[in-house]
Amino acid sequence: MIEEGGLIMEKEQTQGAAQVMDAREQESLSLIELSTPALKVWDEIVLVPIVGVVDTKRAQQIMENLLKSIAEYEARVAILDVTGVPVIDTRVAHHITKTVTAARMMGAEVVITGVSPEAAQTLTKLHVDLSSISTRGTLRAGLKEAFALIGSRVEPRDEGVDS
Amino acid sequence: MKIAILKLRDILLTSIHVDLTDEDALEFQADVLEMVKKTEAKGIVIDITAMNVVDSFMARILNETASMVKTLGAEAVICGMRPEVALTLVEMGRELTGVETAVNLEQGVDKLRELIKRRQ
Repeated sequence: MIEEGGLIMEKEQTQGAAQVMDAREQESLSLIELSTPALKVWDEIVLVPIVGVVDTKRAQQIMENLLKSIAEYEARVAILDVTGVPVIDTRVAHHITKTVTAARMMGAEVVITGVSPEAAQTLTKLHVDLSSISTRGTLRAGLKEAFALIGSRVEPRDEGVDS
Repeated sequence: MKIAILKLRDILLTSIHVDLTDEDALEFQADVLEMVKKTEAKGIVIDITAMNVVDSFMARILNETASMVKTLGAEAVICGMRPEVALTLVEMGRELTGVETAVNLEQGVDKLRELIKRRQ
């Protein structure tokens, strides 16, 4: 009887452990999803802001997300904002290049924004060639570029006419 | 499997709606070139929205067809590539280089018109 009881206890413990593991996995999965949203900021423009360190798994996730959003929103321009990425090294740059190539094959142009001066220095020193990709310092400049690419522009309303 | 190539005024439209075998792909390429020559079309839009699989051979065929069409004096735009397909091609290192692309048929036709205008 005691042995049986022990067995059941053990079984319950393992089940409990498995549940905890499942919950953790679920948590990390939803965290990954949360960390890379794709926003439709304008007709035919999607924005993907990246915050935090980019590892291979996340890069893959971001790439898939970006491409899916291009297809879903039928976007012509995708803005990849890297303001929140602390370090951009060769690996991250490689992922960015791949994403841009894939997006181009789908018929969309990618604008990289928020490249910090430090990142620009590192990339140049590492001889990473991003010259074929359009990059902008700020999201603002990137948006302007995106608008130009879809052939529209935002300008202040003429106050004089209304009043 | 024969892929229909439709003439719409001065351009051609074609949609690959099945996964092609290698022979079919080659036949398709020949058909496209023949049609471009016959109709004297100014350009062609190749829609690949329904293609779930684009292997390296198909990618090469698409690449080649686009540059062959250009050699004939017309423009080519490939549209509707699925995200999964784009991802796979990039992972395989078989990017479509030097080919004009668009997200959907609508934008594909717009792009083609623009290219034709630029050529004239």
